[in-house]
Amino acid sequence: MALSIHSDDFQTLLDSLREAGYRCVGPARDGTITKFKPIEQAGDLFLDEILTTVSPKEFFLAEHEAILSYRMKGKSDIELTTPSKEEYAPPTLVFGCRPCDAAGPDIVKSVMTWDYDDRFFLDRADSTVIAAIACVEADEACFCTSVELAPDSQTGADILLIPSSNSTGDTQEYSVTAITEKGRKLIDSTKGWKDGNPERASAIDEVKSNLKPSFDPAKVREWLDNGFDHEWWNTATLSCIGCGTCTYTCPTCHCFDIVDEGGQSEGVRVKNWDSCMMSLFTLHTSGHNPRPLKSNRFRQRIMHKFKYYPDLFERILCTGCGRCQRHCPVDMALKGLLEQIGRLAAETPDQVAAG
Amino acid sequence: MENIYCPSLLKIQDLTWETPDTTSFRLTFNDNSEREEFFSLYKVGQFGEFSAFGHGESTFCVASPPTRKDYIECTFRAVGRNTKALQALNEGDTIGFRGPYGNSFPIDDWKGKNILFIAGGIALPPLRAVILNVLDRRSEFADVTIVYGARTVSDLVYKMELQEWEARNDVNIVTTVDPGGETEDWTGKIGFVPTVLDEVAPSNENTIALICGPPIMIKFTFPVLDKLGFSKNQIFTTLENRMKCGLGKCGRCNVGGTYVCKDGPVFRADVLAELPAEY
Ligand SMILES: Cc1cc2nc3c(=O)[nH]c(=O)nc-3n(C[C@H](O)[C@H](O)[C@H](O)COP(=O)(O)OP(=O)(O)OC[C@H]3O[C@@H](n4cnc5c(N)ncnc54)[C@H](O)[C@@H]3O)c2cc1C
Ligand code: SF4
Ligand code: FES
Repeated sequence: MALSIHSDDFQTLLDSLREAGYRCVGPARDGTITKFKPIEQAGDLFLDEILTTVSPKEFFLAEHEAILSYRMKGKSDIELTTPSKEEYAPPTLVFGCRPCDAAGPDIVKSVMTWDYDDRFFLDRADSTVIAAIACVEADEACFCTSVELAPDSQTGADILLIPSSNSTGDTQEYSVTAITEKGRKLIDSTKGWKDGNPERASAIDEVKSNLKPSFDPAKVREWLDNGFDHEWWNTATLSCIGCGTCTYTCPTCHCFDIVDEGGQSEGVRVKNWDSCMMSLFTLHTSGHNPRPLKSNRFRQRIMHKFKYYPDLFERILCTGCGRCQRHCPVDMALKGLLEQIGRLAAETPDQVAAG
Repeated sequence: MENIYCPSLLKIQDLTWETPDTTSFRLTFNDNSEREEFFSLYKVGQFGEFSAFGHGESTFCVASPPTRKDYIECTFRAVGRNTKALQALNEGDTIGFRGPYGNSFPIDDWKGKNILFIAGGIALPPLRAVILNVLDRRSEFADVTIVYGARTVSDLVYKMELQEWEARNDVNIVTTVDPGGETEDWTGKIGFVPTVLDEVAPSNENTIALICGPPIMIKFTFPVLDKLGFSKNQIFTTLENRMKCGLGKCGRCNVGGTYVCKDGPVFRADVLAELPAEY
């Protein structure tokens, strides 16, 4: 049976989520930025933006999380405790993210299950339901259609809300599709959903047709195969200041650091977000650095996303959300750089490590 | 679900000062089933994450061979926070260990071959596990040659073992120190490893060469091996890219698309030559 939900019923949904034992996180203002925050009042949801400043990745890969606590017992014995799933992975609904953000965890899952399972990621993914809302707007930084996604793609989402033509200034009706069993279960155990199949807003298809793919990731990957030593990297990355904003706001960047916090007798071992754009990332204690230059690090980021990850897992490590471009302080435009690579690839079809 | 970041607890059974800043630990597993699990997986050349709680984790190779199953050993130099904290511990203290990780030296493919070990300074530990493994299975291999050098006599590690190996008639060992690094009673050679290797001139025939050392030593040793007729597919070495997880997750150790923590740390020289110079 076709389902729908009206924004007037969001409060009913939120109340019933709480009763059903879910916390709901959704786009909300946070000072000068927007990010995913726990939502109890429908009025706190901020769904008008194309994309929040920060992606909801922190609900899968915490920015900072304890992975272990240790405690000295007696003179030389140590007790280790792993936090329980209940502590770090409460049942959660990520409500109202865009399809590009829904795709993020689905893509990152490949590396988190690569031979060894990262329980912190997987437990969270298991207890989190993603309800994405299709896009009725895009900006010049968006490029999901170039990376095999779309303004209404279902990848990674458990529930997809499609805005309908039934909207006024501040109210909106959506048609609702349960994509996974998990999504279906959440809908069955909460309120606010209704029968009905409202007409899809034409804006979605306008966005879709206006957002033509601007590069071919297969061609980019082919160029990268031989492009490691190309001089293009040096000029293309000149303006980068190595701040790492791109990696922190990105829904697919997942590199982390492991450090101890605490003293010798008691403390926690934590995982923190890290960034390949930092020179310390690869620095040896000896002072030797395999990636001493900004251009080396920028190359790593593009290579990782568009060659290494696809080589390993047949997935592009990018959802085309465009955050890295929107929030870059010096306007390094990933989309533009990929277009440049696309052109380089076209100019030199048999290019072999030129430059 | 298992916590892949949770270490085993190991006790420091023996602590040896190799040089003024380098220590070896002999470590025993607190939990016997964890020891059994470790040895069901461990192959020579693999590494682990060693931690002093409160300070972090450091990547060291496992310096003891899989043929000695009661303990594991590691040798490390105090260079930063965690290595200094580990060095401040005493016998009987507990440390954390995760592993074994990474690939290994394919020594089962080397049966009947001559094995040539070339090491410089603190880089003997990764080869020491192979040396001991080969010596524990001595009859399976032909000639064993070891060329080991350090800056000074006091920088040589495993001094006791060097003497034991010298005393054996089935091992040909040459030790050397850099000019000026010798002492009055030094009976080994004086000279840099590449020069000494050139003098020793081991045959390339039916030989596998393993080389570990500072980048500068490796750089000057390759031409000597080349001159001696070694082709790149006879030479193995290890990489030491910075690591955190050791599990292919933290995204830190890669050289091009190759994750050193999973596809390394052991590389055959011809494979290494194909990788971008990102190490
Ligand atoms: C596969 C492999 C095998 C190694 N084997 C040995 C060994 O047998 N003996 C030994 O003494 N050293 C070895 N190293 C180097 C050793 O890991 C570093 O010297 C050590 O981690 C420094 O830790 P720290 O906390 O004292 O230094 P800090 O500078 O305080 O460390 C800061 C962080 O950087 C990391 N780090 C710094 N330098 C390196 C490096 N060269 N390689 C990897 N991580 C680094 C540390 O893990 C730590 O998380 C090996 C490295 C690798 C990758
Ligand atoms: S690389 Fe940029 S465009 Fe791609 S997912 Fe990350 S932030 Fe979005
Ligand atoms: S050490 Fe973390 S990915 Fe290799």
